[in-house]
Amino acid sequence: MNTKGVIDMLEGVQNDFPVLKNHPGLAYLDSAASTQKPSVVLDAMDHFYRFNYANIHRGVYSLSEQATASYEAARMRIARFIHAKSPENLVFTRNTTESINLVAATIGESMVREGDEIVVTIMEHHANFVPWQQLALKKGATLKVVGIDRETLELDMAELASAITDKTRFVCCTMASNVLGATPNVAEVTRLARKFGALTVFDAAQFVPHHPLDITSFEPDFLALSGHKMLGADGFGVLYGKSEHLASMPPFMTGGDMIENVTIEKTTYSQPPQKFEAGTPFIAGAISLHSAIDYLENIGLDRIQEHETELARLADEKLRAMGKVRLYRNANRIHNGILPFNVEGVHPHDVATILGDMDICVRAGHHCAQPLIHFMDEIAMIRASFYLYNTEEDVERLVAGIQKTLEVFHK
Amino acid sequence: MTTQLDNMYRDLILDHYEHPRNCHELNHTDRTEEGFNPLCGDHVNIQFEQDGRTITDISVCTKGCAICTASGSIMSDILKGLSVDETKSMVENVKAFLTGDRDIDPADLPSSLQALSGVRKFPIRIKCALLPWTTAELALNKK
Repeated sequence: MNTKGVIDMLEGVQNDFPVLKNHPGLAYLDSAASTQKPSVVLDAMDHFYRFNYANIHRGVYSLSEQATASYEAARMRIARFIHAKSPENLVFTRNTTESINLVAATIGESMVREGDEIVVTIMEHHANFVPWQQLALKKGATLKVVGIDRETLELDMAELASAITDKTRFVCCTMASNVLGATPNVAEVTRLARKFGALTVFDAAQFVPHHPLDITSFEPDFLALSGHKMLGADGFGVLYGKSEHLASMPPFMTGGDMIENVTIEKTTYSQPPQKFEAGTPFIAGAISLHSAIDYLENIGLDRIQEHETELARLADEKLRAMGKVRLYRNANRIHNGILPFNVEGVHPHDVATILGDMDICVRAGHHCAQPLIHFMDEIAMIRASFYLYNTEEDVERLVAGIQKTLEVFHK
Repeated sequence: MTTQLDNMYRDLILDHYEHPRNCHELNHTDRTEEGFNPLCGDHVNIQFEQDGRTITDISVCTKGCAICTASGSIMSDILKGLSVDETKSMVENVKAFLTGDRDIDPADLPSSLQALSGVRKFPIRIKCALLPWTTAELALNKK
């Protein structure tokens, strides 16, 4: 398919996003941090608050029943989206970070002992790194960090294979790096972990906005995602867990909505997933993700992926041609619409300030992945990330912004 | 690009960024402090050499953005030769000048600091400019 054909395919999608309509001329290239929201998602939340709002799992009146039904319908929809066996495998949280902390603080706390090992990768977002580092420190366990191949910028599978031993309790791995976009072979990660009886914890936050996900193909023990990176509301996340784990895990937080019976002396807990959902949750957040998944699947994740990859490829080509831009990616692949780069002799924060002044939104810094940035011998990087609503014009704006940066810094 | 941005990246800033002053070894180090800006990864190391209450030499080594590096470099030129008390009050005034917390007559400040005034229009970048100064303050407040 020619370039023009692919990029035109999603023409008009921008009109679905009020923020983009309200800021004409804005090049929003920071979707890997958080995505803009389409009207259908905003309308779903608005409709819930205007017509159906009540607390869930409590009232016996019809409004509360409706709210509960909407909340649980979202659980069913998300379960179907990732091909979970049952909606009961899904625990609703605030975000990926909370989902992973939940795992570390419950089954992690009970399984990891002194002398054990936890394997993570250098590509992890701090969300799937710090909770394991802290658990290892607390328990006197060893945190093993698997590197990436410096040529391909992909996870070093040989190093991973030798890192996992019979002392390994958890293997924690991203499904798509938020800095490089690289997507490790999760089936292989799971196979290696399982050989030694280690549990797998996958961070799917950067993966699910771009790819259909069928967890039956690799059967993770745990998997986390965030709604706001895939057109849903911020403050709503999901933890998938295998039934046998969720059933035996102690609660994460205690209080309302997660109990079966409370007396002055003791408390018995609800069954999963309620056991892990203490307090009134973000009901509209669940509804927003339900609607976002409908919207994304209606357009087609494959089409979205093709579109964003083509834009990132075009940007990559144009930035490369400028000579003064260093791109951090495998020469053959662009993943997940993510393009990390630096401008020679200019600190990324200065680049982002100049771009920001021209209404071009990119992320600059360590991207909550300091171990990876240090591994790559950098202090910081700029990341442009493309999604379904970006256009060829956004690419042109980015290129013009980098040109301006070079002029300001006399490069 | 706006004029405000042009004002921030003046030639003097860029000169200090490209050629930062006073990152060097001291004869002896009486006070030292490190500063970090987790947002963008700026890192500054400051060392003071004193003769009694007078700062006889200073080393400022920065790994960071143009604003932070230039600010540290300009600071190193200004503080050398001041007393510890004069330095503390200079740091106070510069912080007030950059944040706009207090009215400071720019005429009361060394002219090289004018180059940093552009940063005031970019709230998120003020802390880049502040980092060397707040780090110097921490060093000076050490017993």
